[in-house]
Amino acid sequence: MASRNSLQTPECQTTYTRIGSCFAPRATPKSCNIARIAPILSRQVSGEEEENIKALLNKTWHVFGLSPLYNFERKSSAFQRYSKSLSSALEAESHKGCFVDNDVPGSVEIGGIRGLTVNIGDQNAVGIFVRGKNRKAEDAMVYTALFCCVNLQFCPIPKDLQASFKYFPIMLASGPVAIMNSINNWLESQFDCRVTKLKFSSNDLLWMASLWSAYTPVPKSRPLELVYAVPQECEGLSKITYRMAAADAKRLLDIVHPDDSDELTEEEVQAYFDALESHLCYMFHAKLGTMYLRTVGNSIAYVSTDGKIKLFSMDYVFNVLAHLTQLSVERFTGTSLQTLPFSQNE
Amino acid sequence: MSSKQRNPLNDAVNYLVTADSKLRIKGNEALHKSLEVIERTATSLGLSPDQILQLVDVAASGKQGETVSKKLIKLLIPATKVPETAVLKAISWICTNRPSMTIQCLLIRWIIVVYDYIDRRDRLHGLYGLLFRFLHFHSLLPYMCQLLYFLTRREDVKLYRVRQLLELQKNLGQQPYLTGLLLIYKHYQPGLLSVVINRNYKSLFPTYDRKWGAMVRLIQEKSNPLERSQNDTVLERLQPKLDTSYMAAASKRRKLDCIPDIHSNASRADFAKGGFSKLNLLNGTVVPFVHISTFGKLLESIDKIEFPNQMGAVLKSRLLQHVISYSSDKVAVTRFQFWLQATLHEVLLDYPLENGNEYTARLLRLLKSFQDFLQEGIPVLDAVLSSYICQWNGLDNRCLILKLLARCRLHQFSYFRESILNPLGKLFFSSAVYFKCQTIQALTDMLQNQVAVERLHHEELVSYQTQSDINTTKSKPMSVLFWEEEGEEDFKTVDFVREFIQFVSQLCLVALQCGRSHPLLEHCILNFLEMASFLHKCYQVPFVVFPPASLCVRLLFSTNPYTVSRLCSVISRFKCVFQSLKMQQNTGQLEGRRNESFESVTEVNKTILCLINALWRCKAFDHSEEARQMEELSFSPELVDQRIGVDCGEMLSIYHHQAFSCFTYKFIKENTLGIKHPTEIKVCKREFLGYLERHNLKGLNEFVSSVIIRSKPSTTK
Repeated sequence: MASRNSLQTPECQTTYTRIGSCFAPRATPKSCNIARIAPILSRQVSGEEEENIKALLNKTWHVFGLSPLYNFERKSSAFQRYSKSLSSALEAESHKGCFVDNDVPGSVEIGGIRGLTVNIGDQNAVGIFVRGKNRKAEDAMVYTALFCCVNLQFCPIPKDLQASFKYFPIMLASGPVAIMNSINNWLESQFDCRVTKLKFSSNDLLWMASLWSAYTPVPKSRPLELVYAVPQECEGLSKITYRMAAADAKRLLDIVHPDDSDELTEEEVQAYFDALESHLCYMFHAKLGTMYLRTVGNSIAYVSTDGKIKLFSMDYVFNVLAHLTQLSVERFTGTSLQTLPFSQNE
Repeated sequence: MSSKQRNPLNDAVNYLVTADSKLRIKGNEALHKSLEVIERTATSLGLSPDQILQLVDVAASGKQGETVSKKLIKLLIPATKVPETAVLKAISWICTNRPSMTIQCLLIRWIIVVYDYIDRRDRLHGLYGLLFRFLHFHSLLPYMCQLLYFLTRREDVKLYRVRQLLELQKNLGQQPYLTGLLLIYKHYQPGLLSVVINRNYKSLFPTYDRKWGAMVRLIQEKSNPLERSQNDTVLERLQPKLDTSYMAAASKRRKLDCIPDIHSNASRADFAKGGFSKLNLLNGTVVPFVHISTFGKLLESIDKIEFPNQMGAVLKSRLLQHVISYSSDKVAVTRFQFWLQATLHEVLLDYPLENGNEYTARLLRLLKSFQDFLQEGIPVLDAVLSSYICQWNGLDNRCLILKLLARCRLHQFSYFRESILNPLGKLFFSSAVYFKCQTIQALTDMLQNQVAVERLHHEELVSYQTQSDINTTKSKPMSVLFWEEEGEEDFKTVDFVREFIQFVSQLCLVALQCGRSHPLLEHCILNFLEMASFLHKCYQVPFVVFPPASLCVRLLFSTNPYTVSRLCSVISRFKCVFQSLKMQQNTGQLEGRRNESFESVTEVNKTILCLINALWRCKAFDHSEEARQMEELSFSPELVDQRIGVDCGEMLSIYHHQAFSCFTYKFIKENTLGIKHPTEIKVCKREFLGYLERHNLKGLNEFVSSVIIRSKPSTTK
């Protein structure tokens, strides 16, 4: 499909805009082609950066959207200060009522992570690592969080205030929920931002599945997997898992999207999914279109509607992160041309 | 006190003071008697400052034994004030460690009880470091914490003291008195400590001495009633009110309230940073907002205020709103907008079902009061609302959403229509009459707001952006808080107003066709028309926009008398406005170019003619050249059933109009002119008009007298 660009020169500039650049012209999906670009993003990575990228794989991450951070400095002294403050915040949460000195180093490390950027306008990623006792009572990394910004096309910070704000559209977090809440709270009070869980709608999942099926599969790659939640009225069945070999999925997509352009349109995505669903309907008489698509996965990544993601393939990490970045920016600025459909409560 | 009564007291005091060695207690009549005298005086009138001074020495030294000392300390109740020297003496005796531990505790407790009434406290405050050392003694600890709590000021918070207190906390566990002292420390240096507190501490310190305190207060009240009322809230004034709400646990806070509290936990003037910023906080160059609790304090440090760490808290605090309204700090305003954007997206658009309705309603309510305070619309709010109303069901938080929409900013009409008016229109056409009324009310408020307030903001922003670059320091817009460097479109307000009034009039017409003369609906529509007519006079706009004549004529057919009357007064007001504009143009007060307002003069004239013909001149459906009727009132008279017996031209006159039929009936019943039938009123139209005016239908008279020129009385037919 898309020609493989081995070196994506970071020349695409991010565009800046005014806040509340309001009243995005509302276009109904019928009248306009919504398209997403799916070139393959990758670049030469050094050894250390490769390590960092590898660390992202095969781990379930919660995805959060962040608003721009205020007064976030990237100096190492600032990082030390933040880590001390965060450790005492965590300790204060665990021992309620106890005062904790903010100046004492603790179990948290904050540092910059290289290798997770594509564009000039992208900020270098930052990681938060919390040490503690895991279930086996050993000293290990209990919680990890990464702020990333990959291939940012559209920065909501006005040009004259660039110095005061840093924008990381997504945060990937992995670890116990209690620590996650405390850290989110600390971020909000320290940097005056807002951390929101980035839940995906079924529509978002459809797009992701189509985009990722378009990449050439490696032999012995995972099949395309779709998990549907069955409505409560059907007793005895809670979910339906639909698996299709990756090569077949790619062939189907090629039929729907024959030309060589990078853009995938809404009609093509819809046609692709109609084809998949009608096949199952034909085989098993189950109308998947009426059910709620909850999880989607293939050899590149595994995504579910409650905002969890698991990455498998090193080659396509940037693509996935770029897509998530774009989703988060759209959610924040409200310029999404796809308004979220009503999502069921789980 | 008379000298006779003082003497026994003086004697008693002298007896105790001059006793060199320990007096015998058992059987010592003199001792008991003196103690009795002192007790009697102290508990009824209190002791004078000198006496307190003398007795402190006796009691604190422990010379006379424990029982006597204890009794004396309890009796050290001031009549007026406690001299500072007495307190210092007590402390110095404690330092010698000669009195027993119980006496030392009692002395501290005494100082705490009479703390309000010590005349000066500077020297006492100078002993802060010394008093801090006493924290090592565990029996003195609770009372010393309380005393230090009263004495602590910003400069007393030092890192080594904090460390010692934390060490104590580690050893003793969480004690309320330690928590109290640490809370004060955290208040003065927010970035120094982290804590999560879930409970509301009602009393941080032990209250053993309530009775004692009560007695002191009673005696003070008796002797100094005036001063007492001033001293009422001394304890509160000594230390600021500690708000521990922002210290609650993370998950709990998020569930209850999405709006952050005021705190400076990550204050820039952070102690831990050391160096320059330490000086800042000590010098008072930067005052974190948590230290500002009253308007007076705000005025004192008006140029040094540091905003709280989470700008979202501005919605909760009126003081902070004052500060932000005059500050030219764009970063703070931008922070607020980012937070608001993220929160509104989360609460309204993305996950609306997750939080209760009350949660959302509270946020919207606070936003509305903030906007009303600022007299300005927030751009982010407009953007989110325009997305929201596309998927709104018209029910949730209806009042608030409509009121917030009414404050939106001025934009080019095409954008406006696309984003706000069309979605609102869709909801409008498919909803009940009460929603229609509320929407029309909201649109009226929007019109008023745009013309009165947003127009001026817009003009200022446009002039700011088109300022030439020769003058490098552009003067920033003064009246607007939320503004950007560029991107403000330049368009004429008059075009906007014209198209807006056109749109709303069309909405009203359709609504009128659906609902049959619903009084509330007509009332709201008339409000809108009145607002349109007031624009020139009230807000000095150099134009007037006349609503479509079809709407006016449609209202003529209403069955509600007050509608017709108000309609007439609106039309006459428009007439006055046009006349005044014409006069302004003639005298050169208006700007040069041809004023588009006058293009609608013919329509105004037609409407006036139509109304007066219908109501007064009995020529409702006149087709003559002169009348030049409008399409709305043109149909051939043959269609009218002649059996009605009324000439069709008269059918809309004031005495035949369906709206005024009740008044016609009453007039006929009450009149003294022998009129038995409405048609006969034609001869005394003027009297009938006066009769209607007495029943508050003033608009008719106003209209008729402004349009009809009375010729000689004999030809008034």
